[in-house]
Amino acid sequence: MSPDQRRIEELERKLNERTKEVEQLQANASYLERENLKLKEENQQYKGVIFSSASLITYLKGPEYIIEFANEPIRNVWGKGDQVVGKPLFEVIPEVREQGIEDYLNQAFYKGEPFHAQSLPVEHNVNGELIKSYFDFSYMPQRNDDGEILGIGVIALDVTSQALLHEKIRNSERQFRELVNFMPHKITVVNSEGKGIFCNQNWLDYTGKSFMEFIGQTDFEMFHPDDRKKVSSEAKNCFFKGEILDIEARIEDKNGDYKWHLIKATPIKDGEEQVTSWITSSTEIQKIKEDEKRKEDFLKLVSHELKTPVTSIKGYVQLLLATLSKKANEENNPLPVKTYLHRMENQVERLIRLISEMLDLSRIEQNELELRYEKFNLNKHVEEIVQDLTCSSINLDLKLSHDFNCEVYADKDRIGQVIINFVNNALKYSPDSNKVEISVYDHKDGQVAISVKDFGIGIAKKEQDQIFKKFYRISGNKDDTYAGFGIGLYLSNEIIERHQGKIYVKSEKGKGSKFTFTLPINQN
Amino acid sequence: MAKILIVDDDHTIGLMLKDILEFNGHEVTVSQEPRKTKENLVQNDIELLLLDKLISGVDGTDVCKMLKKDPDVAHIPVIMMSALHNVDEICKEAGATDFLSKPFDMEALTSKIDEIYPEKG
Repeated sequence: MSPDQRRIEELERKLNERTKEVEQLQANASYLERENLKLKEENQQYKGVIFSSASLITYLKGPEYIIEFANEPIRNVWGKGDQVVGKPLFEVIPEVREQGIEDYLNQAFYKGEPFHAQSLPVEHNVNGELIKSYFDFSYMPQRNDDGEILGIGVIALDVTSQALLHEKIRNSERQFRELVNFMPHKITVVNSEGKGIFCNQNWLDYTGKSFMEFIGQTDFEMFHPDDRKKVSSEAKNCFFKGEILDIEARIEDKNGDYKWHLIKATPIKDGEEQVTSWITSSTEIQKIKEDEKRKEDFLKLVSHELKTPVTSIKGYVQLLLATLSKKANEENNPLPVKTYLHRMENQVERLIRLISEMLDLSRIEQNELELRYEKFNLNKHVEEIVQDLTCSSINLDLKLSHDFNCEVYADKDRIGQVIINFVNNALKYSPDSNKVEISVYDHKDGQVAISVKDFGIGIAKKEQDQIFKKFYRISGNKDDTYAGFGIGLYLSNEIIERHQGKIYVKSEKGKGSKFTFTLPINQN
Repeated sequence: MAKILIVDDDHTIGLMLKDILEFNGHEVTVSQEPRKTKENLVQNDIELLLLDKLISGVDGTDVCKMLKKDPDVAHIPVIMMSALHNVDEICKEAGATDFLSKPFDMEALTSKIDEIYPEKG
């Protein structure tokens, strides 16, 4: 082989090597291009995620915290427009530097410790105005392969509306807490099982217990032994039905004394009408109770003391009348003694009625008006009352009609009292007429009606709703008023209502009135 | 005619009852001393007692209970009286045969006595 040939072979070999190297380089370049493309795509994806995220995201590079990138939400919060990239953070938002933000960043950058905060208040400048916002955020140190910290990744969330809402709730709760502590009432809140979850200071002061002793407890022992059963059954009933509890009971204080309280409890329901808790308010009424007791005792005493001389007067009047009937005829007597005695007797009866009304009023106020129920024939009872009224009142023209016959289950004396009250009113308010008509008829609703009709002064429409109220008295002509306490119709109303009956009036001024009451018919 | 003892601390009521009952033909003794009731019943050979519920601080029902436990006088019917409301049941529980609410009608008084002593009224 000639030297030239050897040289040619050498060159060919080198060419082949170079060609292979070029092919290898081309393959590498193509690989790198693909990888670069892939990286670019990935970068786009990450950027897409970052820039479309509602979270506030930025990357701060180096110890000067140069803004490498910042997504739109964080730029909006900064309020400095889009031209922030490449600027140091504290040049863009210098106002936050002194608010501790630099310290938190330094902690992450120099110590490599991630920093997290929740609902952190930050005052930042937006359009020249300092605005307070709240953020949840994380500062994450970003390192290179050698572990060197290059910058800080910031992810934050604007939680201003939630934070303000929480603050509002906290303020509202504080206000209510102060309000319930300020109130003179004792306030407790129990869960749906009746176990304590909150009480105000007054409750703790009164019972002498600590808040922890109250929490989670159901304590019927605090009620007076005589009231426990009543409170327990009423409370259970209300808990079961989800209705308001309204009861009077004695509650033990820290000294072991029991004091009367008015206890009211109202259910708190969730969106599905399920009772979740109960708010109870207890108001001390010990003094009122004592005053009521004194008043009641006094009225009993007054009534007893008034009735005693009346008993003697009535007895003697009746004895004199009996003596006169037996021994002498009034016609032989120069004085109309019998007539006078009858008048005295009527006035004594009136006095007795007034005393009874006064006592009844007190009993109604004390809720002590006891009814003695019995089954009786109403028509017969009305007849007896009419007979008595006719005997005791000479000038009374009383007509009775029965269109319906029935028995009722009621308090005989109290029903009589209502009828007598109606008739007495009929006479009192009929200065020019002594005609009174009583009728018993079917009220067509399972009830029997008794009405008393007069032909007196009548009642104006506007007064008709008022007359069943306590102490209301009708004015007559020339503004003169009629005798009485103004409690007769109030008592009648109370009596009939307690019998599940109805009471009403139909009247026309100048023509007379018709008072009616109804009672359930006894079906058994 | 019955022999009746009236025990009432109100002097006038005692007199009034005496006058009414004597007018109706009964023989009447009046006392304002509830503690001497048994003594009065026995001494005067009483057949019926009219007893007030509240007599100078003494509860008539206690007197009635005591009499009803005493074999010497337990047989004597007792009509209790009071101006207090709703005490009729308490009086009857104490052993009273009947109860009269003050103020009462003379007729109510005499008819109650007639019910107990029909032959003597």
